[in-house]
Amino acid sequence: MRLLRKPSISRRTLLRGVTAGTSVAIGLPLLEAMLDANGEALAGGEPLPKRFVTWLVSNGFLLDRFEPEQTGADWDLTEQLDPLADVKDYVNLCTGYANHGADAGFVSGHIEGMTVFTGYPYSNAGGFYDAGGPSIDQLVADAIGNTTPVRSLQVAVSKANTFANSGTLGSAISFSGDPGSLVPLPPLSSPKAVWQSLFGIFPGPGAPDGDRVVRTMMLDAVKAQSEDLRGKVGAADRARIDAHLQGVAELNQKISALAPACVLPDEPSLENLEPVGSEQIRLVSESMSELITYALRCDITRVASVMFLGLAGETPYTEIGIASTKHSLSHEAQYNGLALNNLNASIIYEMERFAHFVKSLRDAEDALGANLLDSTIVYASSDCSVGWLHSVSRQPIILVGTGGGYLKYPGIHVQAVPNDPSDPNGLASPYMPTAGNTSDIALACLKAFDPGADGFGGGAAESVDPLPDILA
Amino acid sequence: MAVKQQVKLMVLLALSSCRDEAGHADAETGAAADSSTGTPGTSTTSGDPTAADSGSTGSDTGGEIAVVPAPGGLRRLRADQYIGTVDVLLGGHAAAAASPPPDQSLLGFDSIGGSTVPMSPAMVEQYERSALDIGDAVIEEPYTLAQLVPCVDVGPKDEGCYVQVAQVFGRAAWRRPITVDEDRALVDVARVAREFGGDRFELGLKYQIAMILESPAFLYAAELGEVGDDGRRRLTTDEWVTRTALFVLGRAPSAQTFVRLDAGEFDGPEAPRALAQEWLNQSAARTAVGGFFDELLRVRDVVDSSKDPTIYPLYSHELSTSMRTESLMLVDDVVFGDGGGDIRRLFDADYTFADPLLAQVYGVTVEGDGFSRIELPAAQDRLGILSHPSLLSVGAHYDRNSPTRRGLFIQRQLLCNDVPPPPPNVDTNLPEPVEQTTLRERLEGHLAQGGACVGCHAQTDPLGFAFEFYDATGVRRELDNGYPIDASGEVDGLGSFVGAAELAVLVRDDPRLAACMVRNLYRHAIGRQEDEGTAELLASLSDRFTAAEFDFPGLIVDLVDNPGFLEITDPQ
Repeated sequence: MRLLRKPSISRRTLLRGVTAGTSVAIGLPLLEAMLDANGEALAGGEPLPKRFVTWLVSNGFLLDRFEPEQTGADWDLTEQLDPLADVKDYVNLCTGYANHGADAGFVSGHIEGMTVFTGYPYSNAGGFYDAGGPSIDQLVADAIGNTTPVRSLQVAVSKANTFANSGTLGSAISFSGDPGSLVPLPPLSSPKAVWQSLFGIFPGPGAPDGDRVVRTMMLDAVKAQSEDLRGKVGAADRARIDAHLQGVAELNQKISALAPACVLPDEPSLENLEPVGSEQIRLVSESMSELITYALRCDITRVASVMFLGLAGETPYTEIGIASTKHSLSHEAQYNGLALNNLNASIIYEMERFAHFVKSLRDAEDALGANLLDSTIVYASSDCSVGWLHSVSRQPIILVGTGGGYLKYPGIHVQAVPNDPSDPNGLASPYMPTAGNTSDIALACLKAFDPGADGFGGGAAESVDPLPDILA
Repeated sequence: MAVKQQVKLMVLLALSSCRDEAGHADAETGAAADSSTGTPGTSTTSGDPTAADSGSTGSDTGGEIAVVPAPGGLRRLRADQYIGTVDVLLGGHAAAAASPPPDQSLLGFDSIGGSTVPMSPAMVEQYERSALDIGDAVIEEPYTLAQLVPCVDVGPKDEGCYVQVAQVFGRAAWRRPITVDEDRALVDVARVAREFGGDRFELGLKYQIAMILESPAFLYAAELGEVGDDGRRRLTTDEWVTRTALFVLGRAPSAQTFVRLDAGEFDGPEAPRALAQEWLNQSAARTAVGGFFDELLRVRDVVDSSKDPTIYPLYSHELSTSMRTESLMLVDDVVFGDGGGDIRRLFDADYTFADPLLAQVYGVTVEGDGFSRIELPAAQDRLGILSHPSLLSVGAHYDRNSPTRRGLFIQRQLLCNDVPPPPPNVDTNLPEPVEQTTLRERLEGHLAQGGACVGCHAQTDPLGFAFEFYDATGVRRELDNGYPIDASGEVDGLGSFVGAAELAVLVRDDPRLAACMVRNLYRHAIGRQEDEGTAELLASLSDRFTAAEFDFPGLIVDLVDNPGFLEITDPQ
């Protein structure tokens, strides 16, 4: 019944400002006539749509200002979680869990931290680092991505990414395919390009007749040529051609899709071209949030990932007057009070941007009058728990939204093991108290979309036990 | 392979773990991006007894060289190669419409990413959009294509013209003859599009061009080779001419080149050398060489960074663009100017190029709005590209210098000494900083406490201290935090120095410089990482390069004209 609860702010204009220069009416993707009598499924028997979004904000938190003291249903937001106050009921917070991606030893902290998104330890691909397996958003897309014109979307906000040269694990947070033949899906950092990818694909008024027919013919030719080439190359390139063919298939899926029953948003002019340090983080973040909200609401895609900031947190948040990168601050914070304050402010700034996104989901109504947080799970984490020793112990995972009544509402704070109050940020040792497995949390989320999933990840980080505590 | 991994492991173990003054080395240098087999020419000696036996024999490079070439396979064109190819085949208007997805750099080079990383669906889509945009541009300005296929401009604009486009343009764009089936598909698309477009010939042409550019035959350089009677797999003429063009010209060959190829002009054993030499005279070669150094020296990174305006009021995007131009102008002058191509001049040039913005950085004046050649101000102790504002800016943070970053750059990029990244599980407690001190004193004070960090930082930080007279934007300064600067230092393997100019001379004279540059040029040229099979080849090239007074154009020709470039092993 949660699906039918009225949104807390009704009929609020969804998209203002950046994306929509003029006010736009959005048609509803699912007509109420399409619902069954109970309003719990489509008349054709298909389940109501669920959505999934991952969000990476890199370089961690300050756990003594992040982890709530209380656990269970009755818990209070902390300083760094406070931006989520408006949507707290939708938050299930998981702390204290063990990221087993680092069990084999550290490389950088940031690389290992990404295991919370894949469930696999990283793979060392001969001098650079790749993900060990597919990311959770792509497993969700495997399950539900074929139901929408766009299988999944990847965006970035800051372009700071000094790990990009270290392998594909640094340049993307989404990976599709199987271990050994993964396809990294680098994010788009330009709102204009994201708009093109989401909405520009549908033929506009000026498009020539037959554009789709001809483009499909072209793609058929690409497919035939790729398959021919596939027979002439070795195993590594065969996998690359398969990735190319997957891209062709997804493009075909888009081209063949009917234009959605939404009025499309205006194309933003924002391209996010400023160099790191001068980026318009707030504006870009809000624009991306709105575009994703639009796409989810119009059912153009149901899966997205957001690399808010690339691994290791290498941007200064100059918009709030901070001149040092989050990375620098996290190393200096241990001996410099000003740096500590600025680090804390940087984290809160990031949480505010994240909160803006989840609130835009909360403020968007779907056909049932329910808001998007009722049908979505947003899975957010970082590439470490605390930046200063690059610790991946106790990497928190923030879940927002119920995924169609799948996760607890109101949300709880579940903690695997209490922290050490004498060293809450791992200053003396990066190995803080942890228990359990972060992959159990991911598996629980995955099963909301793929009930048959019997495991997540592999190697030391594998899970076959979905975390029960957070389930409704 | 086991031997290679052992060597790697030993190298990694030998270098103790460390981190930089504020924990940045891991991120900025890419964690262990270069964990190759250490210094070329020294540690890459083959431990595989079969390598020499199965190796082929060098042809024109003199002497017997055991070479097991890199595997063949598919190399996706880099973005610059894609745009350059569109430019030469379809003209500047079409090139301006080209928008390939960005490259993924691996092991320091976009070329390696291009031969390794699979395409994402978003990239496939981007290539389609780019191809369609180029198609639109071509029908707006068909003149370059018309030089090849006149009917697209002057007619007759009939199906026969589509056939010509498919066969003549298709052959050049796909860098191989097109098959009957492909020909038919290309004409079919044009015909159908024309019908949908109200019998407009140009619309058919647009989609036909787009289809050619969207094809894997255009997007990938296929290097599959053919096995000869001697069991060696050689690149076909189409393939080696393409590989050479992508390397030397930074783009695929022109249509005219394929006309010459089809006439048999490149069939002889002397052809690779002759073609490389010929192409080095083209302006595209100068752009391509600039592109190599832009990437190797990370000059291009300067336009992606910004600086704290309250500390560095001169810095702007315009200035950073000028910084990049300055460095590329010096590269061009050294390689293609009067200096005879001796790449050492890059490190000891006592002149540079400045526009009015850069003149402010150097504290000089220049005439006019553009770039002029200037002498480096004598009192600033600068020499060569290492003290260019571009490199000094990239080797610094938003709000301060980074001696570690600057030093690591020399070790990694110029000497191929792969200092490992800092591990996290070390005690990073820095001492409470004494307010009144220099950055150097603070760093040294920390490292004086010993510990795991010292080994690596002893290889990097002192090199960076040589540049402490320049701030994070390359402006000369006389004091740091109000205190006098000490720019002296000593590093194992390089020697001792006082200041940037003396260090530049040490780098210039270091025997590792040639070997490292050869290794990097090889990675860039063929998009593969070197290994035991190519170790002797690279050592030999390095020896020749050194003996030839570091003649960089000569190195390019030598790299093309040898079995490590013209042959492959089985496609990967």
